[in-house]
Amino acid sequence: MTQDLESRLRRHGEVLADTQADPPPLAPMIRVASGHGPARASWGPIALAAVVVVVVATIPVLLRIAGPSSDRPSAAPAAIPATVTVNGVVETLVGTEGWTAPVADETAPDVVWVYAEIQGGPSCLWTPVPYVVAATATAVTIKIATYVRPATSTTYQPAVCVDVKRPSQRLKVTLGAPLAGRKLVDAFDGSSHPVLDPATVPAPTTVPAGYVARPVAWSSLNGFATGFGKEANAGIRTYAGAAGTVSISAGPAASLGGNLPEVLRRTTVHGHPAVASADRGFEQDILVVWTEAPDRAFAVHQMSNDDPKHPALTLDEVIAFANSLN
Amino acid sequence: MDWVAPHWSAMANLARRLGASDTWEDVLQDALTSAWRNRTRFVPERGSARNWLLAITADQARKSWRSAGRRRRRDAAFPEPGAQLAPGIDLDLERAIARLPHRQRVAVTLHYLMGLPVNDAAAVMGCSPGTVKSTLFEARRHLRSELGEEYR
Repeated sequence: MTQDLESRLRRHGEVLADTQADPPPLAPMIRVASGHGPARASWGPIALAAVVVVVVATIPVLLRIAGPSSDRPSAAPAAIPATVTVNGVVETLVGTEGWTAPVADETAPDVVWVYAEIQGGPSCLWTPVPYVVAATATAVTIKIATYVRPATSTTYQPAVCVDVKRPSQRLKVTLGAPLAGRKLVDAFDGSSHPVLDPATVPAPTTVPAGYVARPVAWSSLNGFATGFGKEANAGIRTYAGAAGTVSISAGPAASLGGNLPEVLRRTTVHGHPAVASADRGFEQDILVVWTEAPDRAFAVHQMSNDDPKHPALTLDEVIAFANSLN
Repeated sequence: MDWVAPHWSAMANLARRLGASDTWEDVLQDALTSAWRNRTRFVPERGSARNWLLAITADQARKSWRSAGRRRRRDAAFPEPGAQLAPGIDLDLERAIARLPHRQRVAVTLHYLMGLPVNDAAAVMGCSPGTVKSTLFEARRHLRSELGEEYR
C-alpha cells in the first residue's frame, strides 16, 4: 500500500482546522495569569522547599549508596561529592539518573561516552556528572549524579527551557583502564548496555567541503537509523554543514527498511545494487541504501536545510559520498 | 496582553493537541501565566510573538505529561475517555499520531496539522530547521509503520 501520507496528514490538518472548537475566553485567563483573578493554588514554592528538605535529608544516604561497599569490589570507586562547581556556581546533589547508548571513544581506549537521561527537572537547570563507582574484572559500573543550581528568581522559572527537543546529554567517562571485554553497567537500575565501536560505522575518505563530523552514536538516541526499520539499533556517523547533514548508518541487512516513496535512481555502491529515494516534497533529502552482506547493510541519508545560500549535495554527490566510504 | 489575542486560538489548539483531554486547559492557563511572567524577556527582533507563545505552550504541555508520569505517557489510550472527536476525523491517523514520541508529535502538530512552515516550527521547538525536518522524517516513518504503509 503506497497511500500518500503527506496528503493524508495535510487533509487531516484541514479537517481539524474546520472543526476545531472555539478557544476558552481569553479575558478571565489573563486575569488569572496577571494575578488579578482567582488564582489557582501555586505549589512551586512549596515544592521547592520540599525538595530542599528532601535533598538535605538524603545526601548522607546517597553518599553511602555511592561509596564503596564490602560486597562490591571496586578498583577505584569514586565518591559522589555533595556539591560541584559549574561555571563558578556551586550546585547541589539532588539525585541520580540513568544513562544510555554508550559509545567507545575513537582514539582513547579507556574513554567511553554515555548519554544522560534526565527526567527529574528542567534539563536547562540540572547538571549531570558521571562517576565510575565500581570496576571489576568483568564489569564497570557508572553512575550519573545530578546537581541543581541554587534557586533564584532568575533561574528557577525560565520562560522556556527549550525542553521540547530534550536531547540526552553526552558525557565523557574516563574509566582509568580500557573497557576491553567488560560489561558497562548503569548503577541507576543495574542494566548493562552494549558499547558501540565507532569502527563498525564506515567513514568517507572525502568529506564534503564545509561539513564537520559529529560523534558516532547509536540510532536509538534519535528514534531509529534512517533507512533501517524502527526496531534496528544501528550505529550512525553524521557530518553537518550549513547545507544540512549527511549521515551513514550501518546495521544488519534484515533490518534495512527499504526505499522512500520517490525512487530517484537505481545505481551501485561499491559494486552492490543501491537505490536512491526521497519523500514526496522533500526531494533534496536523499536516502541511498544498499546491502553488502547479510550482516552488513548501509544507508546514506542527506537531510538538507533548504537554504538557497547553501545548496545541499546533489544526487550525484550523495552517491559519490556513499562510494567514498571506507 | 493585547498581543496574545491574535494567537490565542493557535495556543489553544496546540494545548488541545499536546495536552491530555482533562488537563489541556491547565496547560493553556500555565502557558499564559508563564508568558505574562516572562513578557519582558520577549524580544520581537528574535522571533514572532506567535512562535514564542507556541513554544511556551508546547513546553507547558511537555511538563504536564511528565508530571502525569511516564507510565501514563507511554500507555496513553486514544481517544481518551470523554474526548470529543470532530466529525470526519481520520481516527487511524489520530491514534498513530497519539502514539508518536512527544517531540515527533510536536513537529507533526506544528507543521502538518497547524500548517506552520518548517522554519517557524523550528523557532517554536528551539532547534534548527534541519532538526525539524529530521524529526518529521522520523515521524513519517513511525506513522507509516503504524498505518501499515511501509515502502519496500
